[in-house]
Amino acid sequence: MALIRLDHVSKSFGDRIALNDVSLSFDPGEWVFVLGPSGAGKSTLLRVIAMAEKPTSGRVEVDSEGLLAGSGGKRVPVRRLRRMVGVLGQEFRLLPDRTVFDNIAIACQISGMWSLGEIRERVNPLLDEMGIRGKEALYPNDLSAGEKQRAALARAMARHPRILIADEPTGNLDPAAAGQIFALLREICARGTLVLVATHAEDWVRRHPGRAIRLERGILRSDATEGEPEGEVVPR
Amino acid sequence: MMEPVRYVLKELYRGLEKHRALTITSVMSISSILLIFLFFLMVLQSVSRYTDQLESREEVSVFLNEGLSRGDLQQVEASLRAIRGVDSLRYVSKDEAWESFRTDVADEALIQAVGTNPLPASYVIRPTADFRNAEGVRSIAREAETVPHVEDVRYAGEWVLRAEQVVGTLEKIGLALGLIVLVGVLFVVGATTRLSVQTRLDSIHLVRSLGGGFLFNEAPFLAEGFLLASLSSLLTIAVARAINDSLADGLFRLQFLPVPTLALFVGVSGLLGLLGSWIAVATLPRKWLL
Repeated sequence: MALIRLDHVSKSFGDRIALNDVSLSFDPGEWVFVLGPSGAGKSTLLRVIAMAEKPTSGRVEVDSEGLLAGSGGKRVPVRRLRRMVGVLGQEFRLLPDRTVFDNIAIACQISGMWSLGEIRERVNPLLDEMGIRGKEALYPNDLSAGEKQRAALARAMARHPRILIADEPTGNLDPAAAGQIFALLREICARGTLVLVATHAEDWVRRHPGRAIRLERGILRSDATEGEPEGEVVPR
Repeated sequence: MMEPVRYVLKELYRGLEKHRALTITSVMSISSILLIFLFFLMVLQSVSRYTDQLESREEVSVFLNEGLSRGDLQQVEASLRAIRGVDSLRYVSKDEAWESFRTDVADEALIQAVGTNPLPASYVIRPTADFRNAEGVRSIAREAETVPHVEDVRYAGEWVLRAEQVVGTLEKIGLALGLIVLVGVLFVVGATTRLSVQTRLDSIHLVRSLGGGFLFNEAPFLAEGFLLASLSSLLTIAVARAINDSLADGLFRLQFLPVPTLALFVGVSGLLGLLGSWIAVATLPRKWLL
């Protein structure tokens, strides 16, 4: 059963159409690239999935719960659904006045985990996995760009999300740090998390092959898994 | 349960420390507004107590015609007792009145000049508790004037009435001042909260995107509003006390407000702060928050 289902979703900002009648579905554990030039609608698609934007029309279902377009639709527990989603952006978006540990811990606290012991049990393995053990007492300004992004990834993973959304996650990183981030994302995906990565850099698609969705001016141009021919939209 | 509270307090501290200058400015501004109001409350309390004292001393003196018989006196007494609002009567004979006058004046030459006792006998009426005010005393006096053999009726009710009018006017001014204080505190706390929110917008956006709700976004700001106003009220009390103590005893020294009133003052100020920050957060443009 699909984890996310988009049914004829459109999103407009005034006169500008960011997404135009897009229908897609995603399964748990999928590795998906969202490709396209600037303004193609990649970020809007991810924001709609992350419930940061409400579609103008159409329906988004996350884990069988709907986020309806327009007014008068049934209220859905957006906050609860958001907690199922980990988000990683190009900007690291770490809280500058908190340590690395606290930046990761806040995701646990938002989920209702308040015991410091439990939080440590959750955060410490993530620090190890992301290779930032020893940096937990530092503030974001004391970290390199790669370390910041790994701390942001640790925070995104702190609640064991079923969906991880990465919007240009390597945009501000050098190739070595970017490679580390992709390797970590791949490991996370291998554990059953649906990972959606929006990127301009198509060489990462060749290095980490998987399903690739291509958007152009808000229209879904192709949806192909590795080995399938591009150029046709395969309904799922 | 304690951990979320601790989180909010930690955030509160973080916010106050981050905007130390803004915090100090806000506390000073709110204190200035509250100080005016607190002094006004003290003036109101003093005037009100003075009026109460006048009322407690309120008596009506009913002077009688000369040469009344025992039967006439009994008739007058019965008529006076029948007036609504009369608690007790005390008869003051001509001799008692003269003796009292001599004691009060204590000037033998003046007493010699007056010669024979010119003072009339009288009844002194003590009103019941609910008639010990200007209107009550006046109504008793008006009825007493109509009793046969009564020559004149005197009372201090006019003073009470005027004092009550002054208190009434002061209470109206107090109400207006209270409204100004209310708006002032709401405005200052609201502006402070908005500035505070603006400087932490990135954090708010981030925490919201992680699914953080009231506890993580609104609660620290509400706590900040409550704390700022409560601290300001405590500072106001300390400053008012110092000013009042520094004034010389006499006309300008006011009696300080009792502890329960001060506690109420702090509590209401805190709630005003809470309300101010709540309005500020609730009316923020949505684009600020998501």
